[in-house]
Amino acid sequence: MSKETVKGMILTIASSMAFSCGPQNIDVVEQEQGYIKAPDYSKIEQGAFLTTDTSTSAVSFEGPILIWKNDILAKDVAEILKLKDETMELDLEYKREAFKVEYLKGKLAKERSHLEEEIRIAKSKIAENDLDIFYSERSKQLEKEKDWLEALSLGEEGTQEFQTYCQAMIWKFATSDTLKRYKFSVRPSPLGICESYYKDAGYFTGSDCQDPAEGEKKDFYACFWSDTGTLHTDVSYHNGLDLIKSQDLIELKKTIKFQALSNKDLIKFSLLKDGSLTVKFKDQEEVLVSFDDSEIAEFKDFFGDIIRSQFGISRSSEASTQLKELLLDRKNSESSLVYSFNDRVLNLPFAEPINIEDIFLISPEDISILNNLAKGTPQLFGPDLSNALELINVQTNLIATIRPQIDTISNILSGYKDITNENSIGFDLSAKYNAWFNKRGESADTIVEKKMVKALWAYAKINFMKKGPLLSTVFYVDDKVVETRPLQACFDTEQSIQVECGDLKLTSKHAKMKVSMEDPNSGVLNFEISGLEDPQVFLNPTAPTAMPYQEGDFTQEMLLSKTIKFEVLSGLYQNELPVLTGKTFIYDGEQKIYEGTIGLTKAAANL
Amino acid sequence: MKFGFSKNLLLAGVSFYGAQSLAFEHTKVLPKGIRNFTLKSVNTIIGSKTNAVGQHEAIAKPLEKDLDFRRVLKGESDYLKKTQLEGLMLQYGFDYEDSLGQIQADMKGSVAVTAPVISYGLTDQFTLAIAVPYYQAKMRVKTGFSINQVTANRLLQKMQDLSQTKAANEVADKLNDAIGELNKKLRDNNYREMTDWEGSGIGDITIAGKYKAVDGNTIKLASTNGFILPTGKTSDPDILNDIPFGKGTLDFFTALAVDEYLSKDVFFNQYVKYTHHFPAKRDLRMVTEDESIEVGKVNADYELGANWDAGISMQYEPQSGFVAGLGYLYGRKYGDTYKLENNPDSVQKLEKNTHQETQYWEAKLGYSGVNAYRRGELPAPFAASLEYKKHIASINNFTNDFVTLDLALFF
Repeated sequence: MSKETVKGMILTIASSMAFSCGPQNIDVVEQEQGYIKAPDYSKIEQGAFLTTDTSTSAVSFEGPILIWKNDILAKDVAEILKLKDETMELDLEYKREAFKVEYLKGKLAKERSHLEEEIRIAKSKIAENDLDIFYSERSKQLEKEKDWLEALSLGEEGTQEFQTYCQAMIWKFATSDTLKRYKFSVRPSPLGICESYYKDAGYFTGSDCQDPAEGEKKDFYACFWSDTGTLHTDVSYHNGLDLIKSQDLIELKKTIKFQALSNKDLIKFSLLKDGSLTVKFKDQEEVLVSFDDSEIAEFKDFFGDIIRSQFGISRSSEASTQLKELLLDRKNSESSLVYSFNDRVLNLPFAEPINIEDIFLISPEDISILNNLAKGTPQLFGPDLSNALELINVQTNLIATIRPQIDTISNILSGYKDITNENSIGFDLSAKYNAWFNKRGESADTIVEKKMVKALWAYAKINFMKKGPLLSTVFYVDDKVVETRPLQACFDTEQSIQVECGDLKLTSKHAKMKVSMEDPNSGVLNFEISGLEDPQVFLNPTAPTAMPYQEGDFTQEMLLSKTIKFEVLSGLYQNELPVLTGKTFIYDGEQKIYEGTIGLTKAAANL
Repeated sequence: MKFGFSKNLLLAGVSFYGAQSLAFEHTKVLPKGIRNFTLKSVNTIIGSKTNAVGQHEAIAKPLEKDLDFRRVLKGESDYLKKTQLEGLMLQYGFDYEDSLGQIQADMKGSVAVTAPVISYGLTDQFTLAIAVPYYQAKMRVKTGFSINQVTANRLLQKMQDLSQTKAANEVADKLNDAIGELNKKLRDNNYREMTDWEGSGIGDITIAGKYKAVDGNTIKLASTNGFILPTGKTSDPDILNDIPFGKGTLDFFTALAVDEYLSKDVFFNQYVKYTHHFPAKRDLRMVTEDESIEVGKVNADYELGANWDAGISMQYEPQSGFVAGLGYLYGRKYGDTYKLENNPDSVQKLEKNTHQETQYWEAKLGYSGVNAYRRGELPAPFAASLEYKKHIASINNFTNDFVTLDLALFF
C-alpha cells in the first residue's frame, strides 16, 4: 500500500468522521402542565373544635359508619350514594329549619336576657342614686346628731347591750345585698345611732374604709369584712366549732366545701363579694370555697341566726322599742314600699324588707310629717329637713328619665312569644324530622337487606366540646341494635397533641381512644380505638345486644382484638349542612382488613 | 390515573441502515484484487411517522393519551377505590369516555450512523463486502398535561358535594402532577421515566457478495446476496423512547440489479431485493391494546415480516469524474408474527401495524477519481458523493429524509 493510499484513507476517515460527529441537535417544544384548583378544605365548622377561641362550645355529629364488602359492586356503590343523597336531602331540609329554630331561640333568649339586664341596670341606677343620696344625707345628719347619739348610750346598764347591738348591725349590714351590690360616695353606716360607738371603738379605721375622693364611688365590701369591720367585733369565732356548730353547717350544706370545717380549728373566715368564703385555720392554712347565689343566701340566713343568737338578738326584737314602734307605725299606716326619710335613716340596715330593685319614693306628705317630727323631737328625727324637696326633685327627674326606658323595654319583652316552642315562632319541624328519620332508617334497612356492605352502624355519633384550646372528642354508637360506651379523647388544638381531658373528662375507660391531627391545614382528625379485646367492654351491656345477630351487624370477629380507625374532616354538604366525613378502617395489627366510610351530619337539638 | 403507550408504535422497527440506505444501486464490482474502503455516514431526524392509512402523525402522538374515566379505572389497582369511583360515575352521570385531560408531548429523534464498508474483488465478477454500522442516537421529549377543566371541575365539585374534600384534593393533586404520576407509574413498572434518551453502539453487521453475471456494453446484470447479523441492540423493553440499532434477527437477502446504458456515461438501473428474517427471540413487554405499562416482560419468539425493495434510477458518470443520479425507491415489509402462549391480546397488539410500505425520491451528486487516477492525475483512486433521500409516502413508517455522505478509497 503506497503512502498516498494511506494518506487517502486517513483523509477519507477523517472527513467522514467530521461529517458524522454525532446526531444533530434537535429542539422540542416545552409542554405545559395544566392546573386545576383543588377544593378548599372547609373550615366553617372548625369553629366548633379547631379555633383557639377561649369560649366553651359544643357540637355533635351523627350518622352512619359502614364497612365496605371487599367485593362490593359498582352498582351497589351507586345505589348507596343514591340512598345517601336522598337521605341527606331530607336531612338538610330538616336541619335547615331546625338550625333556624335553634338560632332564633338562642337569639331571642339572648335578646330577652339583654333587655332584662337593661331593665335591671336602669332600676339599679335609680336605686343606687337614691341610696347614695340617702347615705350622703345621713352622714351629714349623723355629724349633727353627735351629741344626741352619745346621750343615747342609755347609761352604764345599757352600754353593753347597745354596743353588742351595734356590733350585730355590722354583721347584719356586712351580709346584706345592699353592701354587696352598690358603691357609695361615703362609707355607709350599719346604723346611724351606733356611729359614735363605732368611732370610739376603732371600727372602720382601715384603709379599705376611707371615703373615696370627691365625686367618686367606692366598694365598701372589703371594709366591712376587714379587721376593723366584722373581724373587730367580739364574736369568739376562734372557738368557732362550738359557736358555728359546724356539724349543722355540714348538714345544711352537704357539700364537700364545708366538710373541711368539721375537723379543723377555725380561727377566722370572711365572705368575699364574689360569693367565695375564705376560711383560715390555726395552722395558717387558708382555704377558699365558693358559693353560688342560693348558697350565699342560705348561708346568710343560717349565719344571721347564729349572729343574732350570739348577741342575744331575736328576729322580732332587733330594734329598740322606740325605733321598733316607729317602724311598725309607719308600716301599718303606709305601703310597705314607701318609707319616710327617717325610717330609712334609722332602720334600713336591719329592716331589709326594702326591695332594692324597687324604686325608693319619698312622698311629699312624709316630708311634711318628718319636718314636724324634726321640729318636735330633733334628737330622734333629726334637724329640719328643709332640703328634702330638692331630694325629691332629683329622684323624680331621674325616675322620669329612666322609667320610660323601662316601660319601652318591658313592652318589647312582652311582645316576645314563647321561645321554647318552635311552633310559636312559625316553624313546624316534626314533619321534616319524621321524613328524615324514616328515610334514614329505610336507607339503612335497604343497605343491610340487600347485603351491600359488610357491616353498618346506622347511628354513630361524635361529640366535640371545646374549652379554650382543649378539644374533647367523644365517640359512641346508639344503633337500633347496638349501643356502645362513649369513648373519649382530648386534643390540644394549639400544640396538636393528645392531652388529658381535665375537667372535660368523662368516666369512660373501657377502650383506648387516641385522637390526632394529620395536618393543621387540612384539619383532618384521626381517631384510633384499640383495646377491643373484649367487644362487650366497648358494647354497652345494658343495650339491646341480646338481639339476634343480623346481616350487616358488626360481628365479634370484626372487632375482637382489632383497631378501629377514623379519618374525618369537616365540611359543608351543599355549602350548607355541616358534615364530618371520611374513611373508616379496621386493622388487625398492622394489616388493614376492612375499609369503610363515615358520614356524619351536625346534629340538631332534640325535638 | 394511568396512561398507556404502545412501544411498537413509538419506535419499534427503526432501522436506518438497511436496504434503503444502500441508495443508488448499480451492477459494478471491484476488479480482482482491488480493495475498497468506504465510509458511509447517514444522518436523519425523526419527528413524524405515518399510520396504517398513510396519514402523517407526530411520533409523540402515541404519548398524547386521553385520561378518560375508563383509563383511570383501569389504572386504579385498589379495587375498592376503583369500585367507589365507578359507583360515583354511575350515580352522577359520568361516561367512561369523559376525559379529565390529555398528555401533551413533543418528541424528536436524531440519528447518525457511520458505517465503514470494506470490499474486495475476489474475481473480476465477484466482490465480497462487509459493513459495520456504528449508531449514535438521541431522542428528546417534552411532556405536559392539558386538563379538561369542565369534566375535572365537575368531578371535583361532585366529590366536594359528597364531602369527600380530601379525596378531591388527591385527584386535583394528581391532575396537577400528571406527568409526575406517569413517571411514577413507569418507575413502578420498571420502566425508565419519560425523559431524554441517548445511546450509541454497533448496529447489525452486513456481509454480502456481489456477482456480476452479465457485463455487456448495454446491459449489465448483477446479483447481491448476503446476511445481516443481529449484532445491534434491539429496543429496550424498559425504555419507551429509545432507538434500536438492530432488529435482533439473522437476515438473508438476495438482490438483482440491471443497468441499461443509454450512452457511455448514462445508464438506467433497476433493482429488486428480497430480505428474509429468520425467527428470533428477544425480551419484550406483553402489551395489549388496553395496557402497555402494567405488563410483564417475556423472552418471546418472533419473526419479522419479509422485505421487498425495488428501485429505479438514472445515473450520469462522465469521464470527468462528476457523478449524478436521480432515483425512486419502493419498499414493502410484511407484518411481524409473535408467539406468546395464552396471550392473544398481546400478540394482536404486537403484530398490529407492523406491515410497512415506503417510497422515496433520491438524488446524488459526487465525484469519482477513478478515471483521473487511471489517467495518472491522482495519486490514489477515490470517490465521494452526497445523497439526499426524500420521503414521499409510507405506511407505518417514519417520514424522515436521509442525508448520506460516502467517501470511498480504492487500493
